[in-house]
Amino acid sequence: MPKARPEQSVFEFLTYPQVGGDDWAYMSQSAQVRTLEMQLLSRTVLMDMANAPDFSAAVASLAAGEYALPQGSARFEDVQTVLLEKRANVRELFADWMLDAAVVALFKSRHDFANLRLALRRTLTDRPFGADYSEEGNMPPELIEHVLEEENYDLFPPYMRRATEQAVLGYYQNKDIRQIDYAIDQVEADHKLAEAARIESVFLLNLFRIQVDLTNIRTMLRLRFADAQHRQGLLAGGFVELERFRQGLELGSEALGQLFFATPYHRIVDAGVAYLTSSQSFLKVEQLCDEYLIGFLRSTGQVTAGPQVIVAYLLMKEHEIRTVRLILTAKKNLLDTKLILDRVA
Amino acid sequence: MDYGMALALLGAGLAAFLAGIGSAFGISIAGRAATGVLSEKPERYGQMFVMVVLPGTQGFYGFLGAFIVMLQMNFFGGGLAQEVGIKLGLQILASCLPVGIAGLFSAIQQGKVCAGGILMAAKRPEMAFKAGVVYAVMVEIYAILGLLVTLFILWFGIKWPEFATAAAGA
Amino acid sequence: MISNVSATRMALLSLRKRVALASRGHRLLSEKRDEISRQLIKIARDIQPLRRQVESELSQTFRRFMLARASMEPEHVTAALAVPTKKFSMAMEFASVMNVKVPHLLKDIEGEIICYGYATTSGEMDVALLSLERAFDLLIELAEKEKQARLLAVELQMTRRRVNVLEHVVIPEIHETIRYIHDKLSEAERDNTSRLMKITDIIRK
Repeated sequence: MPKARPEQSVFEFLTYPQVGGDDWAYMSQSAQVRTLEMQLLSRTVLMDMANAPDFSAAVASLAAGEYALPQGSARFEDVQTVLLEKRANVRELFADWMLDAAVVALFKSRHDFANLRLALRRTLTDRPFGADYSEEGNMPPELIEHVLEEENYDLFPPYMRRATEQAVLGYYQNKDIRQIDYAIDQVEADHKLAEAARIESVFLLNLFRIQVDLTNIRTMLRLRFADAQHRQGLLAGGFVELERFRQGLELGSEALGQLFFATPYHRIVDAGVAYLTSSQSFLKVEQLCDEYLIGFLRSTGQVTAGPQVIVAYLLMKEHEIRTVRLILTAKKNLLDTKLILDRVA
Repeated sequence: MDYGMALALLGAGLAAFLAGIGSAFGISIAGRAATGVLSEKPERYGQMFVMVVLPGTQGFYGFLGAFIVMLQMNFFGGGLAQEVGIKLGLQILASCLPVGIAGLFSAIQQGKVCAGGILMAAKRPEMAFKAGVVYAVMVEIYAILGLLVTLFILWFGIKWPEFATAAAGA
Repeated sequence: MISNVSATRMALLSLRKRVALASRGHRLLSEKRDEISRQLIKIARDIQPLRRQVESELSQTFRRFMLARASMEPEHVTAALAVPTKKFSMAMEFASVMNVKVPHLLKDIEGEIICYGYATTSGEMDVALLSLERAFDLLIELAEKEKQARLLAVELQMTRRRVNVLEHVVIPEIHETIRYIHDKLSEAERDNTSRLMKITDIIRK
């Protein structure tokens, strides 16, 4: 069967970056995903939840679907458990479906980086290694602990070794704990892009580049908002050049839309900045970023069969779980419905 | 040395073989799509069946082409193999290629169309016949055209020697 | 009090001194009472809006934080907040308002409150933490003011009770005793006079 190769169709040219061609080896998995996709919560259900008068009504509107709570209970802890279970399920399915082990490892490395971040923060500030690590990474947390104790980073896979080295280096420059995160974020982005290029997946490459861009947009606005002196945290490797973001940090907020006019993120920046100025909140930016990414993921609908479909499903499902959690948390804490709609709609 | 018979047999073989390969690939693609959908929605079996089977027709066309060649040469009536000259052999080979090659490619592509149709049928069952089957049939047309060309050449394009006249009406 | 006082001119004199002292004390204490209540009203007036502001900041923080937490993966929340960079220490010193010792809080805050990278965290977390930082200053001020108000209120109550005791018990009682002694002494005087008149009469006869 032919490998996924860049086949740019008219639709791709008009809307999102290209998603690559078909890989018929994934036919059965793709068909399964397409059937499961129908069970994703529709917009109507989410709106109903957001508009529900209280928490138990919101939970009740989920009762028919897969997020139903055991025996109609309405405790928030149950919601958390159910959501975590669903998340573990979809990741398991993803690992089952994905024929290319490198892609599975790539998506698992997300947890490695998260674990490493927590572990390094604790180790470098002389705190106990502690708990709260994810078990879903490529490397079990005990092993990470062992390696960090021994300071023998050669036992790590290359990407984690590079992340650790960069993070330690960054931290000891001025003992700023944020440097750990910046270093790890950058190595994570580099690793994802390099892996995507190595397995020659146009889709993954574009996906990660979009993610980098969206992260950069958020980071830029957050740096501006916090009015911090330092200008770090932007990630290299996206479609939009770093220089533009740096420029965006210095400009006034009304000039930002103009600056990003030539990029596909024009609407995100425009609407996001307007909302940020009027209500001092990032809800809209985050919602628009999510929407853009989901839009790209949905454009894999052009692909009949291929790993793209499965990756898109994983990310969409994770996003859905986050949304459900968001709405239920908001309902539980009696937050304004308008806030929820701003974040979700 | 006379390779006439060998060429004729090669033609019949290619017709069945190429179209058969195409059908096998096509059905495998459509079949995998169907199993994926059926694993979640077993009640859709009936709708899926037509679309999985469709890419299989090319194999039959190939077989039909090969069969007609054999009939024309009076294979089953103890035809005289020695009488097939090299010119006739080449003609038979040429007549078999349309159905073989058209079958090979159209079956694979039809498999993909059927797979797409199956995915769509999973989401919108009411469109399964309107779009899924009809589009697959459009691909089918070109396999049929290939078959027709083969048949026309076999029946009218080739001047068969004496031994074949008995079967010419078939 | 009346019973166990010796009705002498000495006692009368000392009582007169005491009543003068008591009424001076009464005047002073009532002035103090007025001043304390003036201060208290001033502080209370400050506390009202401050309290409202702190409450709104805190509920804002809470709301944002909830949203931030819900929109991030749980592991990322732990990782982001595991090791804070903001250092916070507090000291207390005392100032004197109307002879009441009121606490004054000294705070020492250093480091940035945003202690994480941006890729895996939500912007709402920034907003929550920054508004928490603002709320901290106000919160400390509020704590200080509320404690002051409480101490002043206790002092006010005590002063008012003292004023009342002086005004309604001590001073009237002393006045009564003075009148009693005065009566006694006048009685003794008249007694003496009449006795002298009687003796004069007897001698004249």
